[in-house]
Amino acid sequence: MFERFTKEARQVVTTAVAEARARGDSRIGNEHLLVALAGTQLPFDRSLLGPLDVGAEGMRDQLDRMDSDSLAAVGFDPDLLHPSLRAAGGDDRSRARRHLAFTHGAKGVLERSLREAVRRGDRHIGAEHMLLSLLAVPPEDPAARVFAQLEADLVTIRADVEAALARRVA
Amino acid sequence: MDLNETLVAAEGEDPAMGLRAVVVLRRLADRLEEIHVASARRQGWTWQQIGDALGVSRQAVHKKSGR
Repeated sequence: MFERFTKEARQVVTTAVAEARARGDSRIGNEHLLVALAGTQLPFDRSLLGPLDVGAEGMRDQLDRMDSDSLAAVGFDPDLLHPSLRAAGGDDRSRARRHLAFTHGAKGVLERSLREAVRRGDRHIGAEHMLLSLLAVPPEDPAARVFAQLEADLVTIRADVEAALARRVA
Repeated sequence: MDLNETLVAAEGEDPAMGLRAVVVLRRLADRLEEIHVASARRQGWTWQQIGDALGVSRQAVHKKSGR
């Protein structure tokens, strides 16, 4: 399904795979696509992303925060962990060989980015379509959790991005 | 409130966060395993000894971290 993806969109996918691997996660999810998108060039001013404009490193911090909060939610104090274990990651050579699959949610986002492109009448699927698709994830998705953490107003961001893309075509 | 009560109390919370905690703890366990298997090997433990300590077979631990 990637043949219509632009160079940037393909880069987002490969970066997300590397991100999942680096974090030691067993699947590629929308939270990894979010980190990858945060470090990718978009065809509009990134400031339109408002609170989501935190860069790749800022997004990684958000994933670490989500992980810590989840431990706290089940009664485990993340501060008890040795600092070197608090953030995801580590060095595992066996991990590099492992094949990682996309989560169902991430597959949904990739498929919906195609529909976003079709809806907009664009011939290619770019990072901007993946972003629009990500903004519509269901509330239980990890990406939705990150949006909530950053207190992002998704309706406004979507409207601003759509307007910027429409201006670009005009 | 003891630990069990805390864990049970957490059941009623957001399932997404409870499930995420399971994933995070598994990932953490994997990392601890990498670190401590490597350390045991450096200190001369056999795969058999490491497997016994982890409660898995010698083959399982060798397959996972052997190199």
